[in-house]
Amino acid sequence: MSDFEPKILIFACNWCSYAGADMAGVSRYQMPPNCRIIRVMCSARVRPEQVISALTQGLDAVLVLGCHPGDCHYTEGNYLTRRRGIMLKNLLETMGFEKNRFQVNWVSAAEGARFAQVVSEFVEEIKALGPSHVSRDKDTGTHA
Amino acid sequence: MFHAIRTPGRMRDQLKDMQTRLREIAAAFLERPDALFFIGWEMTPDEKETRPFFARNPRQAQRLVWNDLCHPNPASYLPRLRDREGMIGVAVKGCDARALRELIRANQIERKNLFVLGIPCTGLVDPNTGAIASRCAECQYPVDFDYDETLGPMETPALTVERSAPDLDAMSLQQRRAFWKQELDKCIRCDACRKICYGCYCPECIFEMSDPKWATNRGDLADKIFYHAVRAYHLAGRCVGCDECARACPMGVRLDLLNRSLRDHAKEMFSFDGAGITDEKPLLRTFSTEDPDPFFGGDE
Repeated sequence: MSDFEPKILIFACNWCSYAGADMAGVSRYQMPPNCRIIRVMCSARVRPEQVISALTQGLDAVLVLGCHPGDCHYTEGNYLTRRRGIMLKNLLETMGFEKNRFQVNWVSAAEGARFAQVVSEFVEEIKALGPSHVSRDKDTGTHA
Repeated sequence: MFHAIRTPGRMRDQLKDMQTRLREIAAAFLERPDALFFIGWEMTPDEKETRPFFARNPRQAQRLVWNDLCHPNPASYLPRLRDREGMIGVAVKGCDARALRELIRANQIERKNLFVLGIPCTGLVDPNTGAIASRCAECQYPVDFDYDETLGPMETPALTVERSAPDLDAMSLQQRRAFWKQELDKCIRCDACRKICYGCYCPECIFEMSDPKWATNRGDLADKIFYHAVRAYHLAGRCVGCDECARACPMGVRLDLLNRSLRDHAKEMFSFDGAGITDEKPLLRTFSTEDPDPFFGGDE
């Protein structure tokens, strides 16, 4: 699967992680081209349906990025994200997704280098996992 | 979903007495001028199963039954009756009481408009085989509610601590995948699991939205994973473990396993005991700064 290029969705919060992505770009860090970034006002604004929908419509992985715990622009949004993320990750695992296909991580506005590192590592992990079993089913036409 | 334990025959007489008292109490309630109806169960015409029944006057109260086939949850009708003026009587078993408590906490119905009759439940059986339902055999929950009246001490029977198979947590990823492929292939997307659930009371359901159109009806695996993952997730921290979704499923999909796994994880990660047992804030509307940190990738 070394030539596999995953399609990855990133939700980045407006106040920290999206600014972090900007910082990574301005600082000219090398980043993999597999990601599509969607800016959201807060990581807690990401609905679990959006994550599940992405995974079942053929994306290989979803990453939600927010401010570090305690630093949320809206005081407590990322704490809610954390709890919801844990429940969602467990549900996806129960249903047969690899545990790494959905992740939550924290990147602040100043951490351009960290943004590049988190995203690169995530892409490497997903490359190692191969395509999602749902999109694989679709491609080969073996779905029910 | 059903354990191979049978109800001892002597229990049936006890249930008959309770049924008589249920009818008396319901009839007395329906004599009140502000009473709208009393929700309980009646036998289906073939006498093999029960179905929900709204008794509107003392005479109709004589059609109410209580036996070990009373599976439907009468409390699940309450959210759509919230604007009716008057008192609504409702008979609840333990799992129904948990659902009712959760509905009251979620402001779906007001306690002051209800007359709640608690029924001590000793476990329900499958109408075809007579085996005790696993949700009843495994029922470990306290039945804590401020009933207006009860038919006896409300206790949890706790018949077994053994869990019905299969144990998804013990399965490998490949096995889980194969299991869900096999289960979801059976699903015909009839929405019975959604309709039966006490907790599915949103005025506009995500599966019926056309803009944005979240759910399609193509019937492929991806579509069904979306449907069942979202349905289960929407009940995270609200599911009372009544397993009605699995019982209502005409194709026998093991939907109870999804909700059971969510309840297990809530307990394991957040020490959340289950909905309808305490009046704490709902699991996903609150948080603790001490929650485990989700650097989901490597360290687990």
